[in-house]
Amino acid sequence: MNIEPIDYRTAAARLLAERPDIREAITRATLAKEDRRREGYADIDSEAWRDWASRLRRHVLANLDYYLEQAGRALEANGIRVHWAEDAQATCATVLSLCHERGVRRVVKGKSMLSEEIELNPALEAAGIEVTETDLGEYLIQLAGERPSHIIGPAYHKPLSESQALFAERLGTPAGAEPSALAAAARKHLRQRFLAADMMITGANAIAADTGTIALVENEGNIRIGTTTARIHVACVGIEKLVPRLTDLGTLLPLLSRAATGQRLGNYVSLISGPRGAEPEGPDEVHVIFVDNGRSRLLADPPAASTLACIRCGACLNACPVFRQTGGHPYQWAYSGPIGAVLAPGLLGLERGWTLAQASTLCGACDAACPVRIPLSGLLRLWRERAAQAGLEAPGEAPAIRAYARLARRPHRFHMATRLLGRFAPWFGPLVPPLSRWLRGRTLPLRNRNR
Amino acid sequence: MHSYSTRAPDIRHRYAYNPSMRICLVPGCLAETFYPQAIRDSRILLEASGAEVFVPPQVTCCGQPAWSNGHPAVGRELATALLDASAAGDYIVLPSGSCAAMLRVFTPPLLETDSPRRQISAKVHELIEFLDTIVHYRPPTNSLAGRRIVVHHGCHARRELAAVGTVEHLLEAAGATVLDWKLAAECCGFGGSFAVNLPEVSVAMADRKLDALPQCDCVVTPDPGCLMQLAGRAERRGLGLTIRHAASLLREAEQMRQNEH
Amino acid sequence: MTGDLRERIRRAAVELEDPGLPPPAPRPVYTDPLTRLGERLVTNGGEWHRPPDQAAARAWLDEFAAGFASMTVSKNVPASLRPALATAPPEQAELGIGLARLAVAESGTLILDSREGRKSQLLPPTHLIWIEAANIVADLPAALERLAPDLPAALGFHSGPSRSADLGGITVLGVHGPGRVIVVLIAPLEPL
Ligand code: SF4
Repeated sequence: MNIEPIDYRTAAARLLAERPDIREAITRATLAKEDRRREGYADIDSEAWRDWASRLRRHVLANLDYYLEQAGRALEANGIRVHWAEDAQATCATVLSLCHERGVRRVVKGKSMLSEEIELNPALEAAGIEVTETDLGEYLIQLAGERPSHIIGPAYHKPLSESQALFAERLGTPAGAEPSALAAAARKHLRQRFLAADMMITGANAIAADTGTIALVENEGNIRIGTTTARIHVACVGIEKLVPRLTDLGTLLPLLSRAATGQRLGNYVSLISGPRGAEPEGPDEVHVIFVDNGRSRLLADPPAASTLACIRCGACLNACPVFRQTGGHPYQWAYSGPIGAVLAPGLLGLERGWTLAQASTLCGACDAACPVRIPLSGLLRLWRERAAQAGLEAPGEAPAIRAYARLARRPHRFHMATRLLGRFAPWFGPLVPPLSRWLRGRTLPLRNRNR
Repeated sequence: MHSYSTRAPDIRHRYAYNPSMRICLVPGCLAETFYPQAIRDSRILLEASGAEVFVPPQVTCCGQPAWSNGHPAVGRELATALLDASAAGDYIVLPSGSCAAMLRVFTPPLLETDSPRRQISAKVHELIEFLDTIVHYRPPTNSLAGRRIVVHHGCHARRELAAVGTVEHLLEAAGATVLDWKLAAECCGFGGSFAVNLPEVSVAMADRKLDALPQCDCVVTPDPGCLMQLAGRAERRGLGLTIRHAASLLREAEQMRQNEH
Repeated sequence: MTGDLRERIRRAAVELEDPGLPPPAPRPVYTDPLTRLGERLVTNGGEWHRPPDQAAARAWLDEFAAGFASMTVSKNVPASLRPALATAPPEQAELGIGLARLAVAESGTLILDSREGRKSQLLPPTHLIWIEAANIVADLPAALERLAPDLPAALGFHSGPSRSADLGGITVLGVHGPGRVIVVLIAPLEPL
């Protein structure tokens, strides 16, 4: 099978040339969130909290079979139906059969990157089911027929003017309406969808194995409303998203919130421990679908397994100076930024994902931000190494490194070469890669310039 | 062979002359290729600290380009060869934060646990950090008075070597004003092969940094890679900025002392 | 879990280093959780009132409620804390009134129990929440410890008005949930 690698470079170059406004919007959003994260880390002992979270998540991974069984039992004991899905297709099939068996025609959704990963919306729509995203950013993206550009802020790339035009066309708001007026229009429209919905589909930020509790964090209230009004709630959850104890959420969720947006806690947290039962409101059925989709393979790869400690806070995206220029679209799949670049070869396979590991200067800003201390730049390097071993490299890179190493082993020639290169590179540079690529947008220093 | 000899006048009386301290100055490929003057400037500053400085002809590359691009075996080979070639120094000093981080922080995990090269690795320092914190070099008071300067630290110097503050400290000791830079901590977009594999994004990153610069007389950095990236982009855009290696500006300050004598 | 998946995960997991469960992360000690709760809630965009006694609370309520035409009230709210307003279904009511089970000082969070009914907590544009002083805890782990033995179908943690910054990065309130959240501290209540 011939698998095309993700071509980040071409997509990024096109975006930079054609959509400078997207670059501006992404830079503004991510810089602001990065500032918020710093503030959020500043009023706790963030080093100690990150050590704690790193250890907790690694403990879970090292005992994942145990905690999954425990969680499965606890959820079932709470009256929550538990399903297991090997891959994207099996997950979509499980949701679809629930829909068919229960006569579901209208689905509302909370923002879930797993749902993007498994391409759930197209699968539901193909079966004639109406799907409405209810997170405001995700709703915007759905109206525009786009994909989220950031795992926390799907519409971070969207300049206000575009949202205004979109809402004017689709919801009839006046041209140039204020954000508050746009939000009011969306509220009114989506409220109807909530009240008419048969099923609410969410992800989960975590599941507490001891009490069988689904934790969901959000700011708008759409998840709380959807999990109240729909008669069926389905949570699609990666198998790695467990915490041992309910009380662990007491530190993990504040840390997640601080890392993502600098908030002390997301504005709304739902802790769902069952269907409504005898209570006055809420869904009659709650389902959890535990999704593997490549995760158990990544778990079986000890050098890369810590990738699964991720709590999807988006802090590494906000911190990444590469991501900040382009946003998530050029990464061409659900996850972007540093975590997307190390998940891609892990979940999509080396052949498809290796190129994303090149989309980094290895500056380490992501390592410094990650609340669970995933060694992101080390993992980027690991995938570069595996790609090189598999013969996957930028054109000419392997021979260039070999030639360079040969030269470096011979000091005399090496020094001569540097002298020649330094003196003449500015003149022959335009003709030979990689200097010619350097000269795209940059000059070479003139060696005889005395400064 | 390069010796980067300085023919500097004897200024050692200003500092405790310590001929028993031998400093191995390792140029690093980029400075050797494009900024040999920065190496000469580094040598002058190190000699001003009173030590004996030597540049072993056998030193070439620290191995970082190979290591960070998925060839750790080659990286380890070059790094160990360099460490072996520099072992005679009491200190091993590089006018490049990135190479210093490679040798001091990234190389030991590539070595056997009992490798004697671990001890050599522990002697590695980035030039300015070495001047500021190890030999307590101070430039002449007021030698840079009135100059408004912006400092860029390479990311490895910033994170792995915790070098932030060293350049600033010496510049301020020389009377310069070090200006705040909103995006000081941000990567310049060099990243070795990244700069040529993804030139469009790399240039966009440099632009972000340059566009956020305050009004200043000069930008300095102790990292030749960042220097090449920021200066190369600024020149192509015709920004008329002066961007220099930190050693070069400090050498200029040191010159004032030498002129006095 | 299918035997196959369980086996695969078990074999992978045993190969990983297990650092063990970590001891609790350090937390700042708040000497005055009550004041802290109010401060944090206001920072989050909520409103905070601390009437000196029951009579003052009642007087405040009557004046406050005069601005609304209809309400929906949680069954946990005693008659003494219900204003004289026409009731309406939560889908139509202008004001929702509820009684928090707990409040968390460190994040300005009110913890609401689904057994009082969830719609009144979410659908009206304004939400008034009563909280008893005895039910204020310093931090979230402490709150979860108290909640764990008696979990309802859903707990809702509300830390302020519904918000979003998805429209051009500009914060808007009341996107889906209430745009106005008012929290009022009360003395211990008689059991219903
Ligand atoms: S890798 Fe770390 S910083 Fe990035 S999304 Fe995951 S938890 Fe957050």
